Amino acid sequence: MIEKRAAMREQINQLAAKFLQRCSQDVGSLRVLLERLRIGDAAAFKELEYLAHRLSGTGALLGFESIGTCAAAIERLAEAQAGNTTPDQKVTERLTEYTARLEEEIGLRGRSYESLKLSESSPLP
Amino acid sequence: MTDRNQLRTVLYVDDEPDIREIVEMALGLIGNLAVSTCASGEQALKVIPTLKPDLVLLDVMMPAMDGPTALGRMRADTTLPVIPVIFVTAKAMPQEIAHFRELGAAWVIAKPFDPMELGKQVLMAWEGIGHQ
Repeated sequence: MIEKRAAMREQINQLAAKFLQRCSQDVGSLRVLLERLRIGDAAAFKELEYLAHRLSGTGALLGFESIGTCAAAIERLAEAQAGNTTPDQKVTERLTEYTARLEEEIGLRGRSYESLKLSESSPLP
Repeated sequence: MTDRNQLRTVLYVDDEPDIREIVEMALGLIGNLAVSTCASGEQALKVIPTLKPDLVLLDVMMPAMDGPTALGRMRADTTLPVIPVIFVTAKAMPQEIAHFRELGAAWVIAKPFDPMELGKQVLMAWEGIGHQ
């Protein structure tokens, strides 16, 4: 059982490293969606909500609490816009700020994660 | 715990591959438990009739068919036995949990969960829903 738990911890560490790599691409996708909001495409809210939901859920589960929190803020704000046919400029700007904060957190966690000497006994990030 | 009531098979449904992998590993820590996973509610509805799991864990927010819709479809299919369903979700405020229970969920596990503790949570839920 102890070996199984250690193997699981190691696998989670590997998933966490891959997640951080993917996050940069996801931030790029968020920025594309923000551009769509700027040109009036309210359908982008739903896609933003879903992408932020994935980042929030997986990030938090892998131990990246700050990434999860930033992504959850984007998710909640996008969710609150459901049904709006015209994107509110102020909401779009707030989403842009949250996305910048998310990117910053990803960068910070990525740098600190790189510097960690991972071993079987390492705690989750 | 009698054999009849022992948890032997679980189906976990989530569109996020990392979470599926973690859950598979986490529940794999429970001895004698077979864990299957699906990436969508639609896929789950296809495999449940043949897999006949003892318990289904459903993510709530999935594209195309969300967890509550998948549960509704399971209950609408009278050829299926009533398999207990646990929702696994970040929407776990008391009023949200009450809503999921009204929809027919036997239990709710909050995300994010501690992967090292998920097995215990699932076994507690299994006992809590009357399979002690």
